[in-house]
Amino acid sequence: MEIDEKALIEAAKYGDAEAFGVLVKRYMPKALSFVRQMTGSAEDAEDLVQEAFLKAYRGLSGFKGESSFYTWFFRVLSNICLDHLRKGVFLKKVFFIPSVSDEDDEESGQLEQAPDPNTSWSRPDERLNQKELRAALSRALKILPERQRAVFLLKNNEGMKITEIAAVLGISEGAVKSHLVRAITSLRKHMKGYGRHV
Amino acid sequence: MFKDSVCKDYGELLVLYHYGELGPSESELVATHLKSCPACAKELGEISGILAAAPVYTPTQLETARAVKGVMESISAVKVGRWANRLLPAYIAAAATVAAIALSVSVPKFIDRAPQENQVLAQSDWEVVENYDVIKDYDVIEQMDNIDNLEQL
Repeated sequence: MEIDEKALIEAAKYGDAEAFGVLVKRYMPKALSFVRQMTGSAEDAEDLVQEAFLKAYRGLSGFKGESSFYTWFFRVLSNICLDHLRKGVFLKKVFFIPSVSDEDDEESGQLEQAPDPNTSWSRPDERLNQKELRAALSRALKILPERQRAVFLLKNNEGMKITEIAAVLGISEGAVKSHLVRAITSLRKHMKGYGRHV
Repeated sequence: MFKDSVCKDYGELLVLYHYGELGPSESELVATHLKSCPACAKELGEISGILAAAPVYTPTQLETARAVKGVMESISAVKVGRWANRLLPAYIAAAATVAAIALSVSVPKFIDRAPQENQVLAQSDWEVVENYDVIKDYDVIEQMDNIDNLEQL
C-alpha cells in the first residue's frame, strides 16, 4: 500500500473526514464505472457507490491493511452491488416487477430477439463497426449472470489479478478462472448471433 | 464453447494466456503451441479483438463530483451522530448530577419540617412545665389568700 494511502486511512480511522475524502475522490471514477456496468443504471450506481463508501467509512476500524484499500473497498462495493441485483431478480420473479436495469435501458432484452433482416448484422459477411460492436457487447454483458459479469468487469475493465478478484468476491481462484472463461465464451456466442464471427 | 478446430487442451488456456495469468511454464507451453497451430493462433486473435472492444464506462467529471459530494455529506451526518454518541454519557452524567443536587436541596427541607414542629411542641411543652410551677404556686398563693380571708373572719 502507498505510504500516503496508509496515512490517509489512519487519519480517517480517527475521524478525519477530509482524509477519507481524498480516498473517495481517488476511487470514485472506478467505483462508478464498475457499478454502472453491473447494474446498467446511473441512478443506482450513484446510490450504491454512496452506500459502499459510507459503509467503508463506518467499518474502517475493520481494515487491517493486509490488502490494499482498493481491494478491500471493492469487496464492500461488489457485495452491495450483487445484493442489489439479487434483490431485483427476486422481485422480478416473485412480484413480476421489472428490474431497474430493464427500466433504464430500453434496448435490454433485444439480444433475445431475432435480428432485423434489413440491418447489416444479419448478413454474415458484413463486419460490424466498432461502435456497433461495443453496443452489442454492452447488451451481451447485461445478460451475463451477475457473478460472471462481475468477474469479467473486474478483470477486463479494472485490470485486477485473478488473486485480487478472488479476494474481492470471496471465491476461489479456480472459480474466478471458470467464471471468466464462461463469461468470454458467452459474449462470443452472443456476438455470433449478430453475424459477427468471433 | 471454443471452435472445434481449437486444440482441446488449449481452448480455455488461451483466455488466461491473453490476460497473462498463466505461470511461466504454462505460458511457455502455450506460446510454443501457438507457433505451430494456426487455428489456436486465430482463436487467440479473435478473443483479443473482442476483449479490446468491450465497453468501458467512464463517468463524467460532473457525475464524479456529484457523487463525491453526496458521499461527503453522508459522512458529515455520520460524524454528527458519532459526536452525539460520544457526548451521551456526559449528558447522562450531567443530568444525574443536576437531579442529585435538586434532590439534596429539596428532600432535607421536607425532612427538617417535622423535627421543627416537634421542637415547637417541645418548647411549648417546656413552657407549660415552667408555667406549671407558677400555676402550682398560684394555687398556693390562692390558698394563702383564703387563709388570710379566714383569719379576717
